[in-house]
Amino acid sequence: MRGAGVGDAMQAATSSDNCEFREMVEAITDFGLVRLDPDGVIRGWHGAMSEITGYSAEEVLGRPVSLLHPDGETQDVESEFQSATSTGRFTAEGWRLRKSGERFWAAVTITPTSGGYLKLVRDLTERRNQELALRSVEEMLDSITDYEVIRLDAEGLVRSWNRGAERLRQYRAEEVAGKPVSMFYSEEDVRRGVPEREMAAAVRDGRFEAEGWRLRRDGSRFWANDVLSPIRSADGDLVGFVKVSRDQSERREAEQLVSRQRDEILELSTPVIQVWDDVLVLPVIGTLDSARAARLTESLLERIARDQAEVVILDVSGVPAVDTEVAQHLMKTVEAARLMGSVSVLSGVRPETAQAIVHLGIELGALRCRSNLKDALQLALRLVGAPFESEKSRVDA
Amino acid sequence: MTVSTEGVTQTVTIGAESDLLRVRTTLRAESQAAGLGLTAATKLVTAGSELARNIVRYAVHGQGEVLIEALERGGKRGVRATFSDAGPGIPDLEAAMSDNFTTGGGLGLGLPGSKRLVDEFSIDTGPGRGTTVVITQWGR
Amino acid sequence: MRIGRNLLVTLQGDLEDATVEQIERVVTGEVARTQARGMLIDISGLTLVDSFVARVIARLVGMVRLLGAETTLVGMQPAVAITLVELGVSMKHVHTALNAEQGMARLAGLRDDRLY
Repeated sequence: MRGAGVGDAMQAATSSDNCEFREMVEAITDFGLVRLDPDGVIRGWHGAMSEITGYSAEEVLGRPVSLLHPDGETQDVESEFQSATSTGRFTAEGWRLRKSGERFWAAVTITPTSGGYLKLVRDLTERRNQELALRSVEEMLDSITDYEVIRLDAEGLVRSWNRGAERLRQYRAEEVAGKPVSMFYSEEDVRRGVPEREMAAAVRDGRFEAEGWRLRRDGSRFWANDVLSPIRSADGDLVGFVKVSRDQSERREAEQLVSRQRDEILELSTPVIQVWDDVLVLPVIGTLDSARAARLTESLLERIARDQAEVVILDVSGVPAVDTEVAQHLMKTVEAARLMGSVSVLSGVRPETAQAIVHLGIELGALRCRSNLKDALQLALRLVGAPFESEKSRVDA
Repeated sequence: MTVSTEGVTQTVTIGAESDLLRVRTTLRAESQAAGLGLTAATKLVTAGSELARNIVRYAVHGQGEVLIEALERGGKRGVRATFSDAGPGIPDLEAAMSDNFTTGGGLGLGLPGSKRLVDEFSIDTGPGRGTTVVITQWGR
Repeated sequence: MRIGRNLLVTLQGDLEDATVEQIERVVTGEVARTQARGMLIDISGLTLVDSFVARVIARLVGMVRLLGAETTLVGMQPAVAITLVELGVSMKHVHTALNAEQGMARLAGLRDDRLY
């Protein structure tokens, strides 16, 4: 509305003999210019006045400008002129009438000239509707305290801040109005252009979502889930952004608690038993998924290190299905134990398991095997030089 | 579920053997910060050591770098390392990734081994565009 | 470091080319000089063994065998053990023991029931 172009246009409109300038004025499409004489009668009708009001120039020339005002507001016209005369310029927003009788929301500027007045009219109906719609939505959102809802303009400045945001971030609305959204990001993120990138991504993809640690005003952290969405006008232009944040700290804590509990349960179900000095038994029970198998191996190896166990008995009689994957993991465990200096004895191997293991094509090396745990234990005790043995002594290769 | 990058990302230039220590130290530190656990961390650092060594050995002028990032996904934390070099690229990627070529024999790049050590592994290579390997390790 | 007719070598910290060359020279020199029958390589201080380090160990084992000594690797950490196996580096040729004491007992052939 301000700017050199408008000023020029206004100047041009006042000197109606200047054809070149008049052409420039006629080319203006998003606002209209009305030239008025000192009594408020329309003497010139330029720019987009016809488009905005629906009146052609012929229909309005010679008529008072009050025809544009809704009924009962003619006295406003007088006061507008007076204000313009005394201060040099009058600006206001208000309802005006189109030819059809429909109202439109106009931004009006009246400037006194040598020949009367110059009135610049802009149709802001659509923008006003948007504002109202946003405001009613905001009122609703403001009542929400669990979610933080922030509205940003197209440049990323904070335009609205609901109660949830106050609660979450500990800033009051007055403290953040008009400030850039970057104030909520860490210095590092601001330097790396993270706020701009997020807004660009929201514009590009229609939505940007992220989870992460956010800072409150007092410096305390909370885990948030943010969604940034662009707001567009009916024409598709970018008007601003809406950012909805949810405090997920509780959920995250709950998730971590579940995860910790799961760990503990896993620990309980994979007991490594020390049956003698230097002899550990790992009874493998139940089905093995890769996560569980990995945990098994880790705990076994840790125990070998801790107890300095020379012999480990891996009893697989409790595993219903030993497929090639499990067999492979078993052999890896045996090798890892060997690298640490511990000897493994495999016990409880069933025919299917034996097949699976051999199918792998891995060298068994000096791997000792026994068909049942009792025999494996006897062997283990002998290997570590335990004082007692059973009557049946076997010669091991 | 979104993956977000948390904290500062670090870049270590890989030009000579003396840089390998810094690569390992940085990976170790990031693993610890992300709470990876000793086994997962050792696997990651070992894989990283293999990949960094490849760059020193085979890339042109041994010039390359690794970008190390701390990640978050659904409550789990992880570490991602992106190794890139402007070397000649791996001409036969399939062969290099096949299990027949373990370290010390065949192509000797240790790629299948490195892949087994980490949760996520991706490789992009070609003559003229060098090689980029991205490995990611997650905590519990 | 010499213990009886065995040599104890401790590997720790960062092993890069220059150090490796030095280690190889010193070790082979000592084995030859003392006519040691056994060597212990203690890696309890190594938190990382990648393919390079594995090769260093393999080379030492080979060199020393040619000079008439057997080698036992002791003290591998659990995380290192799992990682080495997953990495796929073959260590078949390397004998191992839990710690230096076990390793020496093995080398000295003190155990009646052979574990190995």
